[in-house]
Amino acid sequence: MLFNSLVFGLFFVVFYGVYILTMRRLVLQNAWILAGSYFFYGWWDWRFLGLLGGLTIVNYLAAEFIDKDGDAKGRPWLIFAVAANLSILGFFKYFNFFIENAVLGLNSIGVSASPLTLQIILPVGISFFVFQGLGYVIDVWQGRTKHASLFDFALFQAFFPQLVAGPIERSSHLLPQLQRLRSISPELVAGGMWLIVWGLYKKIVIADNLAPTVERIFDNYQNVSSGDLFLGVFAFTFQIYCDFSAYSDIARGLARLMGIRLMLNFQLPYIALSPSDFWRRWHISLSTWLRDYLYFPLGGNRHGQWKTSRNLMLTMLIGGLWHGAAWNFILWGGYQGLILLVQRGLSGIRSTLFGTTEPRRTGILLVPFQMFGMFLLTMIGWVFFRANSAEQAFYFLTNIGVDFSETTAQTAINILWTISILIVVDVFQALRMNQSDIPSFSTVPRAIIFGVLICIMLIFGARIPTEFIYFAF
Amino acid sequence: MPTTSINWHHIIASTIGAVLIVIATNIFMYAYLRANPVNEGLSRVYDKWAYLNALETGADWILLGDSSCTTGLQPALMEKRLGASVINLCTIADTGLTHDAWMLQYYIKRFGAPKGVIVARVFHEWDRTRDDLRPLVDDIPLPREEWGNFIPQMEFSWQWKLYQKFRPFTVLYDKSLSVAFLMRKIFKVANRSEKRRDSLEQRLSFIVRNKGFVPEARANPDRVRAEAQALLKQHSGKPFYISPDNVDALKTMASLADKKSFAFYIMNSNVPDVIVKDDGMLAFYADMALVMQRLISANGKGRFIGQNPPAFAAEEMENIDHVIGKKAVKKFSNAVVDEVLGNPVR
Repeated sequence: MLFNSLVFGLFFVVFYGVYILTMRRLVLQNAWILAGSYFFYGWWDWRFLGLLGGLTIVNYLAAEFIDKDGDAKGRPWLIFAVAANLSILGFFKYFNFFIENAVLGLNSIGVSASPLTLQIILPVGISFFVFQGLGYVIDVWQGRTKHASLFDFALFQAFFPQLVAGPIERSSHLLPQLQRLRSISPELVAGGMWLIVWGLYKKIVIADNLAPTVERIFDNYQNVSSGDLFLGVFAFTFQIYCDFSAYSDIARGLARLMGIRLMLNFQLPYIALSPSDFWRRWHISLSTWLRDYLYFPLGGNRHGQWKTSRNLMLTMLIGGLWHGAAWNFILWGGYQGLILLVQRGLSGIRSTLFGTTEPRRTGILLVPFQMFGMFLLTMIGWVFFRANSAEQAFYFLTNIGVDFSETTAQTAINILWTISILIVVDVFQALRMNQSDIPSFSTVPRAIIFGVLICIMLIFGARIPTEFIYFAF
Repeated sequence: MPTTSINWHHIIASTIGAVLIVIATNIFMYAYLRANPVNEGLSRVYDKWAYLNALETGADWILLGDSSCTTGLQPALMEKRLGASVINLCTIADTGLTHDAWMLQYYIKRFGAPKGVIVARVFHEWDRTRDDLRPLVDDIPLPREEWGNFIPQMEFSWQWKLYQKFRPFTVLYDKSLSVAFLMRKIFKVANRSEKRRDSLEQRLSFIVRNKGFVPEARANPDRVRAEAQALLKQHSGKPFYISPDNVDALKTMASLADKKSFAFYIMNSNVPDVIVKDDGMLAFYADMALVMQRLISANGKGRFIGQNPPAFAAEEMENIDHVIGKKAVKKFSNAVVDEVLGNPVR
């Protein structure tokens, strides 16, 4: 069930009607959310409801034993939970990838091996709900969150607005909201409506309209001009941002209508000034998850330069692999790790020369140049992310240029036209340093903004609902 | 930008305001597009009806049919050889024979029966049904009471009728391509081919001057060759099929010809030359002639002409249906006149 489909609209109207009617009865309302969430997930493939339910029980039991046995005795249960979650993720997502590469590796050293490839269907959103559930078990073990009842945990694990593409919620943030009576304030509803409308706009007007251009260029990359290659990457840079942040926005908007605040997942990532700044703004729920549950446990930056670099690179490689079982995602993760390390290296030099790791105050005039530089670095990263093979990524990076074909100018105009309102909104939000201003505009400007966005969606919105890119992750 | 402390009144008022903006924009665009259709297909239908309405006197011969006829048959060339006045009321493929029958009835209602009617349609659209016409009917610039009474009558479901009531409020979605085109024009980001679109007045003035003939400008031989191969695969050696909807409309026009005593020709319209070089297609055309003759032989006023249709090199065509250039238009117009003169109706 896609957020941008009529069937979801009908589902949510019915769901929300009953939700409102049960406002004062927490158990009933939560049971309704749980039923709605399982219905929502089962709409794709009811067979995977067992997987969702099974993982819920496994994680709950592990947390239950950890809670009873305490830190030291609970450790085996933690290991069990980690192993169970990663095994399931590994089987569904990485089995074929590892088998294929193992066979290739063996063949390359002269050992004959034939590939065993299973027809494994990837359960939608598995990476998201596995990480969310695992985060809960670790939080209980570390005492960061109080162990919840099976019912509450099942709700936390399956909460439908963010079930299949995040934000990956923390138990300490979402669980308490699910465990208490909620109220729906005008401020929450206004914010929620804005997030839903803006999210839909980004998905159906921007991402889905950029998709054909991106596909055309990436599928025919050897037959297009170097300027077109640049435009293909530029268009994908906005397609991926709008597609993914749209899902997060709609998820947060829907939750707000229900009186629940989900965490911010994107904070104007393309105005980042450095790689570390980018990761504070892009897919925040994943980057903080990786930081808290992987980078810090590996030792973080506490054990010298080499180990810090190793931890950082490992974290980013796993972050890349999280996106999918393919070498291009690993390359993308490696690239992100590399530019973060370069940034750390430059900070080290700065520290030696100037006695501070903080960037020198270069003045506001240089900020746009820093931003532009980081934007270009981000674009290079997206080449790895979008490419179908390492060869294709290499071709893009070595052939990209400003050589125009007959259609390049028109393509550029179409892309700029498509993203124009996004740029206006994001620049406005960046200047105000606030993403919640627009919902609190007074009546007339708010009505005009909503009216105009809806009109544009009706005219330019993609007609056939397409899946969000991150569903595949 | 002014901000406010949010309350329920504010949310309700801004939501109603947004809905009103959407409704008002839809109604405005509905009215605008009714008067200024920008979709080429729709505008062709609209323009030809507007032309028919604008005519002060009728003509001796009228041409009906699809875009092969709109772009390929030039009345001025045909008039000299027929020794009679000719107008081109042809539209597009989607309209089908039902729409031709309606136009003919409206013409007769306004001016009485002509001396002759030629309906020219390409061979590969006879299997179409009235479903293709359904989305176009609301763009006929006549009250529905007018065309709705012509035969063959079209059945409209209650959902369709209900939907028509809401059309003024769904134009942004319904006619999104037209609205998008207008917006791109306003913001000057339309591409070169789009910028060439003329206003309704300019189009109508051109149509009146050329008696309904609207030539194509660009040859596209690669496209023609590719489309011709696809057509061959689809039709070569296969039996000819005409849909019951087209049979119905054909019989209606033939019976009108009989009743009002005018010559009625069904012309197998132009094709790329590769088509007529194919034996399987010649067999197809022979079958087509048999079926057509059987359908209109009951009266003496109907004729099927162009069993082997006028053929053109790929370089003389814009697509498999449209010829381009004066030479090709002259050849096609003359071929039709030759067929008419060679098959007189007494």
